[in-house]
Amino acid sequence: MNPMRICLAALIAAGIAPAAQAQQTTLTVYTAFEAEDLQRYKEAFEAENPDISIEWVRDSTGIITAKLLAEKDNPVADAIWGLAASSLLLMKSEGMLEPYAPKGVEALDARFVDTSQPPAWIGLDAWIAALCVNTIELEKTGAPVPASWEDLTRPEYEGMVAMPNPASSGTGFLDVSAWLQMFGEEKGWDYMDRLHKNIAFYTHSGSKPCKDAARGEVPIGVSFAFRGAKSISEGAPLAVVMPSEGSGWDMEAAAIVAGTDFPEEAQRLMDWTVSENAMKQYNVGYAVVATPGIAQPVENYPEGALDAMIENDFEWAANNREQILKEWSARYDSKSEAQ
Amino acid sequence: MAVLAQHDLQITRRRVQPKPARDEVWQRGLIVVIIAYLFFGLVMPLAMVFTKSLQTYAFYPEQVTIAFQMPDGSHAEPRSLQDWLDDSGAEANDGLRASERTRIQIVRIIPKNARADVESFRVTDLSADGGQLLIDGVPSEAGQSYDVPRAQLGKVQVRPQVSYGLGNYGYYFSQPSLFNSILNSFIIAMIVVVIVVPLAFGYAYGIMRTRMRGKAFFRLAATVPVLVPSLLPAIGLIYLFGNQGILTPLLMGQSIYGPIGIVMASVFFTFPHAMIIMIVALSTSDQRLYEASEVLGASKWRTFWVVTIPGARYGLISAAFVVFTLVLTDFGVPKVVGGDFNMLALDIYKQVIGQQNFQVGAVVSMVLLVPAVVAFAVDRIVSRRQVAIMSAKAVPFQPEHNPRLDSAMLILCSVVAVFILGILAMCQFAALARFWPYNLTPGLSHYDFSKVDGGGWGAYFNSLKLAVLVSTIGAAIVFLGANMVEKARGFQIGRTILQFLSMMPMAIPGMVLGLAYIFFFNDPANPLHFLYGTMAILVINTSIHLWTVSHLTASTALKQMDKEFEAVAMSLKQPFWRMLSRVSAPVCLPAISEIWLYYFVNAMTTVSAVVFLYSPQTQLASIAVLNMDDAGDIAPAAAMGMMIFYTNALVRILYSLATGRLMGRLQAWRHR
Amino acid sequence: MSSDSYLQVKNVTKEFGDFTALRDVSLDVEKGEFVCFLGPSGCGKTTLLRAIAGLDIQTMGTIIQDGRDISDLPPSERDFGIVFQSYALFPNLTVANNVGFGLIGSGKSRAQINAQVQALLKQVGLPEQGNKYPSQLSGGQQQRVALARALATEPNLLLLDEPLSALDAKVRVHLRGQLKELQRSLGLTTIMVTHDQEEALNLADRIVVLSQGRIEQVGTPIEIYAQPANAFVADFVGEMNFIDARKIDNGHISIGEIRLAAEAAHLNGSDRVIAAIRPEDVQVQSAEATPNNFDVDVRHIEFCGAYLRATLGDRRLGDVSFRADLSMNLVRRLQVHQGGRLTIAMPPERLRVYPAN
Repeated sequence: MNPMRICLAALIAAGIAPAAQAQQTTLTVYTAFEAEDLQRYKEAFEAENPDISIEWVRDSTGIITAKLLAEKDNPVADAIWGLAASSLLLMKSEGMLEPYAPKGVEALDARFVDTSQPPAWIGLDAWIAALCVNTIELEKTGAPVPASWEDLTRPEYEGMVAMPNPASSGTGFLDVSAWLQMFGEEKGWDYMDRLHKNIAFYTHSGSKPCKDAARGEVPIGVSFAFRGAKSISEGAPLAVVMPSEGSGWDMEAAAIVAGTDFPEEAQRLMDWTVSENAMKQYNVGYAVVATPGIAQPVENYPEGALDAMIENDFEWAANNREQILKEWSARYDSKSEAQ
Repeated sequence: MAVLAQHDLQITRRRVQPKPARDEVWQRGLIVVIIAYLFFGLVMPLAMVFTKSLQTYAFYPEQVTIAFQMPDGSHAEPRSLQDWLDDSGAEANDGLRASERTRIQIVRIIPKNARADVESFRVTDLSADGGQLLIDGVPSEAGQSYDVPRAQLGKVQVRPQVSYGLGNYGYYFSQPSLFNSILNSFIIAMIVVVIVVPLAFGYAYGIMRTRMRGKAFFRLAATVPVLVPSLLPAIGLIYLFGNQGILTPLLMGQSIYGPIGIVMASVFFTFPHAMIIMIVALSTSDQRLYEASEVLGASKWRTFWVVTIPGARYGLISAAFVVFTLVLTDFGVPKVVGGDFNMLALDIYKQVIGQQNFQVGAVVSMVLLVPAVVAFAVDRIVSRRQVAIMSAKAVPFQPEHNPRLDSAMLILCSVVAVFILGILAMCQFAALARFWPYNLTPGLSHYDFSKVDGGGWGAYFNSLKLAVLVSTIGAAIVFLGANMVEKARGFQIGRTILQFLSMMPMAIPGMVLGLAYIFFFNDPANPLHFLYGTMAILVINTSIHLWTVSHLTASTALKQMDKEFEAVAMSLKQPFWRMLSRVSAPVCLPAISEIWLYYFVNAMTTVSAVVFLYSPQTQLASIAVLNMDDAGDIAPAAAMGMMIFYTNALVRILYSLATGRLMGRLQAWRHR
Repeated sequence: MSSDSYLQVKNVTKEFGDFTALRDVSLDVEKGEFVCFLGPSGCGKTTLLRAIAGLDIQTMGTIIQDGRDISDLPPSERDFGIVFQSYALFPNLTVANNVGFGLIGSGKSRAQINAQVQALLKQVGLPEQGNKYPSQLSGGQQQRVALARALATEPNLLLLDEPLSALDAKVRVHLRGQLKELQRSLGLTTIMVTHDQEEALNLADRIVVLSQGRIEQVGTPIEIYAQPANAFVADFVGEMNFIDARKIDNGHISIGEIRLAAEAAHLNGSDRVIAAIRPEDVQVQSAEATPNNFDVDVRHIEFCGAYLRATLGDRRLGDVSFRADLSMNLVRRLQVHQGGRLTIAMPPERLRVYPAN
């Protein structure tokens, strides 16, 4: 045997051995799920699918969206699990998603499923914009707890409000898109002009305003209801307020990235993401999940959140996203913290 | 005979071409390999930054035509998209610049009512190279027509095309917000210089020129900031001076978020660099000058101005430029406490990570390169002069007792030490508090990193792995390279190139190098693409980012060796590697271990370059601090930052013990 | 030039950029010979040594060692041992390991190497110092270790680059003797670079005097001293009076009004010349019986221990004065004193004439 052949044999052996041993497949999954949920979701999925392991890539919605678009020609992700539906609509229009109807998709509320056949993406749960108000800090200033979006523009809240930057944060974008839908374009921008005067800073991530409010760094954070509920459970002196005009919302959705090397495993992931077990996992943090009748009440979750959800035109939001963000950046970028 | 003589003459007149020795082939091979390492890890990526900065994207709507097919099957005359745009008075390339990823949907160009009863559309890409359109995500081919049913028109997008020019620079300098950050960066850097340099001078003066107590402690305390990422002091400042900070009233209503916070945190992390330079500058002064000044009847104050300051002037200049560059190129501090105050280094991060605008990121990089290169050049010139002073045969200065001066310096040094250690102590305290500021009972809940962004404890162990790999591999390659530059025989070209490349990294800000790596390695066409996202790329990047200081340390040590060692080894027919392993490396062991420590500590704390390069498998502790802060989890961020501190402190202590004991044993020959 | 000499240097030129350090230098060294390169600093003597070693290979020219053209070979493929002024001992290795460094990889066993190292250390007079580090030895001892290390590989050519310059005077004289003895007993062809003429005169079989990259003279120490080929050599080696003079014919010159016999045939035509005589060659004893005698004033005397240096002159000589070294015996006998008068002679065979520059 010549040395070359020995070398080759060693290589083949090295290549075969681990594969034969476990048949383990690793799926790279891009997500904007809350960091603290990742481990729980991963464990729950892997418990039922021991041959598949999940490798999370997490960042805020805007960043993950940008990352996926950037890698369009050479995708790294096998699947997306836990990204705003408005972002997935964007991917869909770029032809980046592999349509697939997961097993059990019929059980889902029709509003949560992409209209194409088979659907390009599936909604899993919804999150709803809300105000996190630090009652201790607000009391020190003597100002009342705000009850509506309009209240936030009142002069006594000057410099007291933090909100996420819509360019980087999915929550920030759903706020802006909801205001534009609720108030109309002209009045919507006028509202944001007035709100801008009271903003202390725009944050990079959607949960940060609520975390900052929990620490008392700002009295009021524009965030989402579920984050507020969590912070209260951790001991923060917060009140979660659903503004009276109604709240923007978005879905966390899942999809298969076209061109994945593991289409079968990605499909099994999709099947699992709409399963009842998965819905129960989502329900730990989200009051609204895609399959009707499963949701259990979440501790400290504000009442009336479901009623506050506005009629949200995701298609409109996705198509106008770039335009809206450019306009927003031109008007308000000066108060953005570094992204 | 005459012919022979002439022949002989010709032979002797010919230039002699020295033959390389057998081991020189290996030496030259090694030099070439190290040059290649620096070429692909430094020069090529930087060239890519430059190229990217010249790339501009624009739409060419005149290259695309669209023809309507009516319900009766007839085709209307094709019109170019430019015609449609002219109709509406809109422009494809308006004030908002196109980037690589910008798209225009055709449905936005052709009004709804104009295509109300159209059955299908035939779009044609007229360009020579194709790719003007994306049809359902697929690029169009040159000269090809596509029939698109009415319902699918929304999926047809126009794609911008690349061209080369100075457009990005024009755009950059015309943007007030981007231009402002240049101004901001310069002003902040100047302010920090004005604070840090005199402070560091005073501090070093206290240590070197007085008889105050606790010199060893102060020396140690001042170098502590080197052990933590620059993000950490910024986090400490939030706890001290944020809206819920314990010292907030001291700010008298001013916000820590913004210039004040940036300046304070920058003072913290640049202080040790300035102080070390000042210590060196003050250690070279000559006692005889002071005696002469005294004999001439000059007052102490006058002696200070006439002797002390001029003696330290190169140190002062060098410190000023080093601090200036550090502030200018750091992005950790403004990221955490900057608020809405924009800085140059932050712009790169924002443009690239936030907006995926690589071209403008590249432009900012080029802008950032200018002051960094200038500062580097000044530092090199100055340090050469400094060496000239040092080599003079001076008598070391012996400080006299001066109770008033000693106690004044003690107060100054104590204030600085309290500032430095106070910020760290605050971080540790906050990391342990259950729920700042409402529940201060200590607990370890913030050390459970699995519930927050950043990669958890895995990131910490990745950092350890990176630090060990970088320090070990880096110290080996750098020492080998420096040895070749200093000691190899012949191959002047190779050695000169290697020397030049070895000096380059110091002039390249980390952010620029990181961005350069994205451009170079994240290109699927690059055969080295497989490195992207691996630990290897972090090791390569970090080893090169910190190359120059290590190289200079190694060179200085090698220069101190007798220059005839190699000649002796050659006369004894010993190959270079035996000389290296039996003599050069053992003799330079103190320098090599110093390089190792330098690499380790900096690999643990570095953020600027690797922030662009880490992947889910290679998250790092320093990056985790950044990401946790980003997500609002500032207590875990402080906890992780302190982990970095403890690790570095421990390694340093072990290093001191090892150099004390081990060196004592291995380096017995140093003592008589 | 004989072609069977051990080392031949032919037309060697060395340029460093615009600076020419050696100009067309040719030289032969016989086997077993001890040759010194002597000259002021910057004359090219070290450059020539380094060219022979291959450390700085010449720009042009040929070097042949033992019949082999080594002009373009690297040092490691040449046959020599070298000792530097700095000793260049490896500080982290013991004396024994320093000496044995060249024996690693030679195929010898450890025991063989140890034995050889011991023998070498004994040879240089340091049999007990093998386990010490260089920094624990005196300068003279270090130099001997360096010598032992250079000899370890049994080279056929020993190169010494100012090996004694860093030592103090007494040690230097002592080591000089040892070095010469060792060289003679080994019959080792040796080239030593030095700027110290006394060292060269004392040690060398032949001296090569260099100046500004050229060889000025090659000869035995006695030749160099007694018959310096030109004014430079005359000036550089030993003490010399240079006196402006005129050539009268091939056998005579004049200094002022004084006519002196001197060999001047080698100077063609030129009227103005320089007469040279060593201070110790100015004859006082029985001067009247020697040709070229005349009377002079003792203008100044200077006591120099074993002898007295007198500055002499005379109105008839014109504006010149010259020095003469007088033994103390003579001074006492002739009662030489400042302001006195003295008859001296410049023996024609000691009086050399060089062209005026």
